[in-house]
Amino acid sequence: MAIVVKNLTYTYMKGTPLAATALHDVSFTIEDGEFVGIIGQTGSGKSTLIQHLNALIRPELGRVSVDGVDLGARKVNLRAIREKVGLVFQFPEHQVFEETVAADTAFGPRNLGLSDAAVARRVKDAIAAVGLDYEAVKGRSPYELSGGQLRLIAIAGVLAMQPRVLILDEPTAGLDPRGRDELLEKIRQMYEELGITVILVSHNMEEVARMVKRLIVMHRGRIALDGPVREIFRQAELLREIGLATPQLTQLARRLREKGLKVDETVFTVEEARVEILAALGQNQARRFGNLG
Amino acid sequence: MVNTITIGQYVPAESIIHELDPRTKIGAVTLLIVALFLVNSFTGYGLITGFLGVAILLSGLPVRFVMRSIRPLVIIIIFTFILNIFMTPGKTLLLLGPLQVTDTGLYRGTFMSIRLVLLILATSLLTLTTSPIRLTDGVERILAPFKRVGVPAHELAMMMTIALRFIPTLLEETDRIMKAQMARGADFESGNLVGRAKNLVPLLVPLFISAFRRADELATAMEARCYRGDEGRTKLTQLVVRRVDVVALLATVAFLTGTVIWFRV
Repeated sequence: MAIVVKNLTYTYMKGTPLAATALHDVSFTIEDGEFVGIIGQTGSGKSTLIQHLNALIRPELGRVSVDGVDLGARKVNLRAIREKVGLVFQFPEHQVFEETVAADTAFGPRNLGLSDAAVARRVKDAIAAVGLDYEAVKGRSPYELSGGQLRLIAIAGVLAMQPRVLILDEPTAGLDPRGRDELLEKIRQMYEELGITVILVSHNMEEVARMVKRLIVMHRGRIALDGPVREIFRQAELLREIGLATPQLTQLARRLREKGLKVDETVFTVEEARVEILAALGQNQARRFGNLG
Repeated sequence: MVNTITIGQYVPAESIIHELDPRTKIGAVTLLIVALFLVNSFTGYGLITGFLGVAILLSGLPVRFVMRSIRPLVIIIIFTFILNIFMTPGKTLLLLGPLQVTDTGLYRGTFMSIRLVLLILATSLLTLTTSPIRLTDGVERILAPFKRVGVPAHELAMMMTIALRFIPTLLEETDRIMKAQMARGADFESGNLVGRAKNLVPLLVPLFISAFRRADELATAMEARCYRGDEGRTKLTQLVVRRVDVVALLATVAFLTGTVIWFRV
């Protein structure tokens, strides 16, 4: 199932003195099963863009289609689209409202008009998918949970719709480093185990780089770069201009390269960097020995 | 969907209306509202409309944008109009089943609608051209003389500042929670009245929780900065009455008094 966005332009508060163009001629395609990161500074249009993908905002200018269904068409089954494309907002714990965890997770599937048994099954699966113990949490009040757990429950609330595409807007905002790593790991597991398309929105390069295969870089409502992660990191100057830093290890590799050490400048994990640097040092050592000899 | 509401919104610009002292504007709007209730002829309303029109033009805001502030209240205006048309006794013009349209009804319906529109436009122009801080500063200064008889002027102004400050925040929050629930298949747009009210629970519960959380955080933040009310508190920007304020206020008083006296009976 592909998401196709073509020449999408969107203006907030159109026709008022406060009008602001949030998206400007944005086009891209996301294929089934991709793991894509959308990155950009605050106000670059990321949030506006993803709200188009499940028809929370209908395209004014340009086209958005999901699975061949045009979201701008008059008679679109919005519920069906939102079932297919699950969107987890920033601070999703703010949307939790029911008295128990299980009841809140059931809100989505119940809206789909499923039978009680099917709803119960989905709730159980969704809570398990985010890595929480269903039996332990199902009867508890959401507000008794820790911040990190509550966020997982909110994500489960979207997962219970069993979407084919899962979009997460800044899922790690406000979490401590350990909570962040755990959540990212869980998102990766969901991607691998559920076989869904995942779109991860963030302003943090460090975090996205480890996760996704393809990056879309947004800048002032336009797509500045779109491609495989490593290709994007080659454009360090452009990224700096946009106000996004490449990961620290990529910066290190680049500086080593400037100093004459032959390392690949697109590394971004510690393990990769170790291998690259050792290999490069080995070459240098060898050359030095060669010169001596 | 909620971003079409312009009540309480301030549009910064440089214009003679924007730069007037907030007290001048509050005073002028109050007078205008009083005049609207005293004048009882269409000609009088025509003159007031002209006066308001000049003020809107002077503010430099697009006329259509100012007119948009009527939109959220259109239903109330239509309701008033219809109620007046059918409920006022008088000479029957038209029979619609058991309902009758009377000449006095038509007259009063139109009159009331114009009055409402002018009321909304005048107050909107005030909030559109005055930043919330200046607005509440103005209110506080106007109420200051009544402190002696126990009116908590500063507290009232502070409450107003906070309320105005949080209108856009809460609207944004409403929009976000609404969208988050819609992403989970919630439907806020169809169904009968009872069903619709029930559908609001997933919106209202998180909204209240977040409003209380914000209030709590704000109180802590204010206490952390040693807020202790009015006592010994000074203002960063002082309000100054300039010549233009005196002229504007005198012109308003003269114009409105004239209109009221002329078209009172």
